[in-house]
Amino acid sequence: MAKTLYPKVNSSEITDESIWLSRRAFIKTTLSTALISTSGSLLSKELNALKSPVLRLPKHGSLTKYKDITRYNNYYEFTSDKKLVHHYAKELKTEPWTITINGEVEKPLTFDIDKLLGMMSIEERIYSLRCVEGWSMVIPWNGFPLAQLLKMAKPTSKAKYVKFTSLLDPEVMIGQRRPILNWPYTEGLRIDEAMHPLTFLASGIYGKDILPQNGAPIRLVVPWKYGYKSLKAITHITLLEKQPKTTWVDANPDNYGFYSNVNPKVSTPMWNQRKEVKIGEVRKKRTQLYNGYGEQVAHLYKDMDLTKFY
Amino acid sequence: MQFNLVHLFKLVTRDYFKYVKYLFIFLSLVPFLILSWQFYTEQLGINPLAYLTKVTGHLVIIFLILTLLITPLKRISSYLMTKYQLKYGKRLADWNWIIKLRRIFGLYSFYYACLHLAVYVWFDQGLEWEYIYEDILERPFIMVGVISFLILLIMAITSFKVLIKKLKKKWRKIHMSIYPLSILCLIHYWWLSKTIESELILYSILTFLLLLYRILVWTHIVRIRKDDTGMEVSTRHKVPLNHKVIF
Repeated sequence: MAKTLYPKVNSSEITDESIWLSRRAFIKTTLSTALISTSGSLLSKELNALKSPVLRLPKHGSLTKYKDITRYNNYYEFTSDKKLVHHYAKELKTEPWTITINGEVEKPLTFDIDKLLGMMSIEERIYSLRCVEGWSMVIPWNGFPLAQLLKMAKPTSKAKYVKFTSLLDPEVMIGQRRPILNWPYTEGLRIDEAMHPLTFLASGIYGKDILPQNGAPIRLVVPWKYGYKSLKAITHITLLEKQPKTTWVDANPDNYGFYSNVNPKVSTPMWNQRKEVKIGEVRKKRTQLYNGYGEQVAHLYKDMDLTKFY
Repeated sequence: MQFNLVHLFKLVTRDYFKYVKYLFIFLSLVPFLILSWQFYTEQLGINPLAYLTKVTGHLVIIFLILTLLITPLKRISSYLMTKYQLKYGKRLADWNWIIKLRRIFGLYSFYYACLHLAVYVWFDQGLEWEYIYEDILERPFIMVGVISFLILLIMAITSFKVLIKKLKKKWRKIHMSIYPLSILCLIHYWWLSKTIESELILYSILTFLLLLYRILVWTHIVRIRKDDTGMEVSTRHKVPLNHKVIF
């Protein structure tokens, strides 16, 4: 089965707005059928409970240009120079690729990526991606909610956290030859965050297969957290009882926390998060709590001190 | 007349120093011209704000390193010329024109620091003074940047020739603050870096070597050269015979 539901477009071509809009109409219909087909089985409770907030996602204005999304990347596995990432990332081979779900699950699973994407109904989500460095993009992702995949592996009652591991391959990922971070890149979520319908696994952008610089073949997207939480090129998803160590917290605990929720009121020695510049614009604008997704996610952190658990 | 390279060099460096000076003034302005051209043609890249901040910041450190390089360069070159008694060596040893570049580079460092500050205050913070005040208190590296700028400002103000003559020894003391300044600028850069960048390592090594040179001169090599005061204005001293040249 095809990797995505959409016709392949030459990657050098910038998507025309009208083409993209027509695809959207198609996606909407597939999305609604997907909701109906799954509501009886896997996710009925969660989806019904949160169906309306999901459909009322905050508006972030116009989409970021495809060219900017694919030419301005933070991907320290290759280089810390955002403009060079897309050159180096060309070398990454994403086929064959397997993704493994293990740890505190009843049914550990390993999928070939093409087979997995064939099984899932691919939908579109327009999310704002807020980088910890103070810039943001609005990206139309294609993929499926992480919860759908986790449910297949049946997490046990001990599963309290989810750890994600990215590819370790210093041959190709030349940034990994230097110990600037603890490779491989790992990230983590609490189980309720991971099961939240907004938490997404993306395999496409603007209806095209995702490019290596954006996290091919599959990446995480958690829109209410800073971008570094949404790790790229996932190989392992491990369910754990204890909170996992994550790469950036390990490297610099004063500036990075486990939760990393977008919060304009929490500043660290390195970052002042009050404002952000949207790529394509010149002036900075105010940053919103939970990146604007407070309506959907604020209940997850009801009794928590956000300045302590940043 | 036969073409004589050394003769030409002598002419250009000594008798026509002003042209050398203008050349360096223009060369130092080239990064600014490139930035302006990129600004007006909208070629500042995908994140113009980050690009402007980064490039202007780097230029400040690069010009500080160039400024620090001048004194050792002048001393070492004139030492080598005298020691090996090269043809025209005596003339070339009189490389006092090099020292005059020090002020040009220093002032350009200040100039790019002004641009760096303007980008932060205007583009990054949108002239919201309350937030800027909070930001200085919240993030230590911003504080270090502000302190560095004030030091640079004092040095720029006291760099007029009239003041150099007037302040004499005090001037030297004031301008010795380039040593802590260069360290502060590096701290500012280290503190804001997510990971260790290669430029950061390069600047740190260069600054370290240039400061080490000063430490060695002060501690291990006794200063005998009375003719070299390190001042720019009084350059016409007679070198005593049988003096021990030390750089």
